[in-house]
Amino acid sequence: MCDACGCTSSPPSQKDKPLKLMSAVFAANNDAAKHNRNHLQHHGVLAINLMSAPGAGKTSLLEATIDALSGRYRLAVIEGDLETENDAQRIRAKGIPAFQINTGSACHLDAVMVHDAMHHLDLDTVDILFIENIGNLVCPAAYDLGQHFNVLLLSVTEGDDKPAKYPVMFRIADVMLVSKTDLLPYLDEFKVERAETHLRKLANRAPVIPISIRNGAGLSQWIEWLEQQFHSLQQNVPALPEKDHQHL
Amino acid sequence: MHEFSVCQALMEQVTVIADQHPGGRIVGIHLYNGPLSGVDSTLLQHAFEFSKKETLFADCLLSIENHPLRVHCRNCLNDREIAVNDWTCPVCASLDTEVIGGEELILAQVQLDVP
Repeated sequence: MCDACGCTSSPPSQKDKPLKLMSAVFAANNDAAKHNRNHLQHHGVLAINLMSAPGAGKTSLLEATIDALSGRYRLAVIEGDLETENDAQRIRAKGIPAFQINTGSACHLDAVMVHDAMHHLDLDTVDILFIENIGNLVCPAAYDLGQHFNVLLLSVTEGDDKPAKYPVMFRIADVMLVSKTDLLPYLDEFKVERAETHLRKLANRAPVIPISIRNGAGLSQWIEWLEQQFHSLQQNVPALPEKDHQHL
Repeated sequence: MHEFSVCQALMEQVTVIADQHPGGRIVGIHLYNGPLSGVDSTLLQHAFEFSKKETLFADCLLSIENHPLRVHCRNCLNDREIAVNDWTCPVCASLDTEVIGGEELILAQVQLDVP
C-alpha cells in the first residue's frame, strides 16, 4: 500500500534496483590497448601482433624476418609463452632485444601485460615491434593489445578449413601467411586456395601469402608488406609531443 | 579458456558500480554476448558460478542473452542474420558485407538489492 495516500498501488521500490549500463566487459583491456597504441605511435613504432596455433612457425618466421631486415630496421620482440624463455633466447641470439612474458596458465596476452613488457624495451631505438602471442587460435582474438596489425599464420599441416573453424580469430587478420609450404607436396588434402576461400567468406580481404622459411618462398612478399606498413605509419606519426606518460 | 579472465574483469567492473550504492547487495547481472566477442556464454556462466562462492557475488544470478551475428550488405543494402563462418549475403550472395551486430560483450544491467 502507498504510504502517501493509502491507495493500493505500490510505491516505486528500491528493492532490486536495476542499473542499465551498456558498457563493454573488455573496457579495461581496451583502454590499456589504446594507451599502448598512443605510446607506440608517439615513438613511431610499428607493432605487429603475431598469432597462430602452437607450432605454426611464429618464432621461425621472426628469425627469418630479422635476417631480412636487420641493418635496415631496428627490431624488438615481446614473446608470450606459458613457460620458458626459449623463444626470447632464440631472438636474442640474433642480436635483437626480446622480452619474454610467461603467463603461467593464461592462454592469451592482454594489453596490460604488453604495456609492462614495453617498459623493458627502449622504444626510442625501435622501428618495428613484434608481439608473438601465445599459440592459440581462440583466446588471443578477444584481446586488443594496441598493435597496428594482426598477422595470422596458418601452417599447411593444420587443415585448410581453419578460418571456418576459428572465424573470430581469422576475421581480424590483416594478413594471412600460409606457412610451411615446402611440405605441400606431401599434403594433398591442404589447398592454399581453399584456405583463402574460407577467409574470404568472413568478408576479409587481407592478403594471403604462402610462405616457407625453409626454402625462402614468399618471404620477399611478406617483407615488402611489412615495409609498406612501416612507411605508411611513418607518414602518419603525429608531430605533437606525447602527453605525460601515465603508468597503468 | 580465457572466460575466467573475462569473469574477473566483469566482477571488478560490477564491484566498482556496487561501491557507488553503499549497502547494495548484488543480486543480478545481465550480459549481451555476440558470437564474435570471443567469449563462450556457457563457459563464462561456469566460470561465474565457480568464482562467485564466498564473494560479493554469492547471491548473484548471471543471465547471458546471446545475440545473433548480423551483417549489412553494401551491395543490396539488406540487413540479415548470418552463420558465423559464412558472411555471404543471404539475399544477393555478395561478400561485400559488414558486421552490424554480434561483436559485443556488453554489461547491460546490474541488479542491486538496496535496503
